[in-house]
Amino acid sequence: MPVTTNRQAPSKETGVVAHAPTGKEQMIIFTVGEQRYCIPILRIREIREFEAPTYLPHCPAYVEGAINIRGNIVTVVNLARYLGTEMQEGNERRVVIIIEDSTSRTTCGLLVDSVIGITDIILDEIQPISVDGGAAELSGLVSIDERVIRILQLDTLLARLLGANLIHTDGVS
Amino acid sequence: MVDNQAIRVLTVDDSRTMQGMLRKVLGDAGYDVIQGGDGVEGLEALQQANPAPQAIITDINMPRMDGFQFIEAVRGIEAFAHLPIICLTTEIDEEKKQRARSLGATGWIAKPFSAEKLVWAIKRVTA
Amino acid sequence: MSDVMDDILKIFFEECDELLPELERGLSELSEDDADPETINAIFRAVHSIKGGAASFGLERLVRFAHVYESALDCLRSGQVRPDSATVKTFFIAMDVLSDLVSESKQTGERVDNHRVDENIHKLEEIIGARPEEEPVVELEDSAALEGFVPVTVDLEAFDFDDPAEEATPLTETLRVSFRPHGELYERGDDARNLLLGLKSLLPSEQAAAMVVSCQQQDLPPLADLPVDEGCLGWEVHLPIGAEGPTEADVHNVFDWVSDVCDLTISRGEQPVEDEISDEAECVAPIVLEPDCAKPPKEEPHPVQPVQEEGPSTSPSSKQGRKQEQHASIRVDTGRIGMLMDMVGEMVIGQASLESALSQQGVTQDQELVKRLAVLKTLTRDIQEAVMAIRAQPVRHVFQRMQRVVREGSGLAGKDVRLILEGEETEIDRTLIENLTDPLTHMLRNAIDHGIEDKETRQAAGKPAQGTIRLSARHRSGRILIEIQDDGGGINSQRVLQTAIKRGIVSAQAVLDEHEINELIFAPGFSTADAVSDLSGRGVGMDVVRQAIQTLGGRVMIKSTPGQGTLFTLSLPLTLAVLDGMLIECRGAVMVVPVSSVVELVTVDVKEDIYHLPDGSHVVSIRTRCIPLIYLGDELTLPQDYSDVTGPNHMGRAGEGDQLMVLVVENEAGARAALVVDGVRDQAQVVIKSIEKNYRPIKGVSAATILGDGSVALILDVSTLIVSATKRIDTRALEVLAEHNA
Repeated sequence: MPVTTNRQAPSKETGVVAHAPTGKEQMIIFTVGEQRYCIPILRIREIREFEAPTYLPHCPAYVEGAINIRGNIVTVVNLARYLGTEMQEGNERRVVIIIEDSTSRTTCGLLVDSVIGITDIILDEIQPISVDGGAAELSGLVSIDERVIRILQLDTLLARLLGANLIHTDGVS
Repeated sequence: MVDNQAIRVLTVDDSRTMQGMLRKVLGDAGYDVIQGGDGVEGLEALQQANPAPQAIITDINMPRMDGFQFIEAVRGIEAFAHLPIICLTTEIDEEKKQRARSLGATGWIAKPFSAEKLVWAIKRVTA
Repeated sequence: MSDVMDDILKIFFEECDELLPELERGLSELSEDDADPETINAIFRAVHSIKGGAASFGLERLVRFAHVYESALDCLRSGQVRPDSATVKTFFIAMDVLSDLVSESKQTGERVDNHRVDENIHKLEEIIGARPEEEPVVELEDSAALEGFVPVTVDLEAFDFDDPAEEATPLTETLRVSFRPHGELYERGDDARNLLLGLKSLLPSEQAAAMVVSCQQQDLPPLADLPVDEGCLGWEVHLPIGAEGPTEADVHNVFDWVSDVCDLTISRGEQPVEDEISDEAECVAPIVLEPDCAKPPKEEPHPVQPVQEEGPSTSPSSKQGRKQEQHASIRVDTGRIGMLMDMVGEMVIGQASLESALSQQGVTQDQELVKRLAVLKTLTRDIQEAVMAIRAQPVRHVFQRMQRVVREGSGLAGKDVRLILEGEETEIDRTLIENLTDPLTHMLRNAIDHGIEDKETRQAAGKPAQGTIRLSARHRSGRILIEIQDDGGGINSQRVLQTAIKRGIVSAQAVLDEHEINELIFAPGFSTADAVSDLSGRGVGMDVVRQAIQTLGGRVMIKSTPGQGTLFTLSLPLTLAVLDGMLIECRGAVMVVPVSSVVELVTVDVKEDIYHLPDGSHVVSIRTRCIPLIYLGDELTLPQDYSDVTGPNHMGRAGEGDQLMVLVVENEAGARAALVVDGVRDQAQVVIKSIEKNYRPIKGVSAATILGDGSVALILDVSTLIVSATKRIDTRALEVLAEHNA
């Protein structure tokens, strides 16, 4: 059964039509630094070029700032800083993946080094990651062509952006 | 229900709740329902409706033009002089009932109404 | 229940939400000398409609109460009861109960205490009982009427009007029904056939064939003499009687409506029961029960004033004043209006960006183009205003709710307080309206509790025993002003000051003027009531009120005259969607300061005017007044690399030496601070965009907007900035400085 994403279909950028066969999920793979990560394609609203955002006062280090997407103020997250790695040096082709939570409609942008492509991930093949307390940045690992791809836990990220379970960095002493 | 298909009924009531109920009850019984929110709207709907309704259900206590005035007005239009009009109201006052009767109403049903009774009444007057 | 029924139930509750304010409005218009029948009718109709709808859903508690309420209102409608103040008060309190019962049914409110319901029913019954000489009738009428209102829940799921009746039972008897319609019956659009079908429907379908019908033609005259408008045919029907009937009563039911235009005889077996149907036979609760007792008050008004009694006349001339408000209207989902509002916001931005792009290219020299651009600009603004007008609602909705607040509040405080509403038709954005209820409620409770004195004190001061609170709304220069004025004793400044000192809000040495002292009641943690009262001491202080109003972009001002009362003025923007902003620059970032909070822009000398306090903070002296200085870039942790300017505190641009540009801003409480900025661009109306939709709240920032070039600019929360800056500074140090300066 063909599934269409609700708004700006990512297919426009990638030229691929989304499918959701049983036991599989279509994911978009991207790189941050030297690592590969993926997120479900259905969460993606659009992919756009990186443009300088407006700085948000007292923001955590991984927040780049805010941009305007068709009249909405959307926060851009520097995924490298969020995940504790470094972005590629001198990469001029960084992009921002705009994701949206289907229920809360919370939107945010993910600054990544590059988008590699789309693949079907067989859900059974995902290896869970054991978490020692606290919400994890990743929800699992999967191997494709002998490369490990990390699955980003978007709900954790969005919750942190909205300020849930966060030690407030606001108060300037 | 097939035999009711073409039968159009005009309901006049200022309560949107009641309008909703009537739409549901009569709609389920296969009637074609048109509605007005008070006597004035009812009259407008009646005169504009094509085909004309074959029965009217009207509330009594309504703003602008109440049920009595509405019945009187409908009876004053030659084409509708004999159109069945059923009053559907919470009024319990006998005088009101008599008044509606004397103005030419065809029937009187007290609210809250049962769906059966209403449909039965419509069937009766449109038979 | 099906979805459809859920929907209808939802409609019912929506309707209640409209009817209850209607009821309240009607009641407040009611007074002894002005009992406008139209108003009374509207009141009656509101309760009547609630009852009718509630009955359809089997909401028994609501129906029971609404019914008694309606009966009491009916006495008012028929002129048997005068709308004196006691009666109106009872109606008001009953309205509150009714409203709570609606909430209960809606499951948004707590279950209403049975005792409270019964108590109010009793009060309403007293009104009904107050009718002249009808005491014994009342009871009967009431119980009978209630019986007539056993809620019949319309079970639509199982609904099938062809439902076969109970199983067949052996025939034992027949019911002989003879009837003869008069000509009038036919004139009404009825037909003997309908009656026959009605009788047939009394029988279980498998016995329908057992109904025997014969036509009695004995009265039929020769054709030549046939009167065209008279009924000449009679009908005799034999109905088999089963265990379940039909009974005589069932047959009467069929003929109920036509009883005056149709002769009817019903007999069972061989014993004919002569029964000329009287109109009273079936009807519900006739009130004629004591024939000896003449009842002129009941009967007279009816024939005399039928129109007034039942509703407005059809003649347009009698529908003046309030009736004219009934414009044709449609219901629109608020989400859609929100969407439209957003799009208009986009359009404003798009228009601004077009303008800036054109001016950058120098095309603005073209006069023709400039003219057309101006047309577009005007049009855009007009559209924006029109859309905002759609969202506007009269403050009436929230104002009328305050009547209840005052009723309950004065009851609790044991004071007699009257609330006068003015300017209820003043329109304001609906978001504001929704958010005004809580602050207003609190302020009114405060006014009753602390403002209005007790009866003895008032009388001793030569004031009327009844206290008055005036709640008014009006537009003034693009804002809306809401005033709450009481005729109480005014603010006791000395007591306020003592309390504030006791609570550590101000130092004991502080020298404050009257106005500054009054402002203290807005300080967090302040409460003048020594014993926490039931009313206003609910853990919320005036600080919360001020906070709430500020969140709405408003200000609260206070003016007190000892012995004469207190006036609170709320000044609110007309909308939360746009804001008049001043665009400022700081470390390369463009930010917006609400114009309403800007006092002045001044250049100060770093060496001369700025003082470093021992605690590390800074103040600036502007015309001998010392104001906390806020280095905006530092305060907001703006990164240095956004600017071509250097310096840790950004003490001005290189080359400009020791001059600093500061924007003096003021919050609602009159507290000031000076923001160090790089520059001021221009003033513009900006569209307010939420940051919190996709991010957490940011301290010092209230929202964001989108500039002409499509970039995001933050809107500063001046109030919070000032408060945090003021807190850092020891006020005593400021006083010392002030003295030093003087």
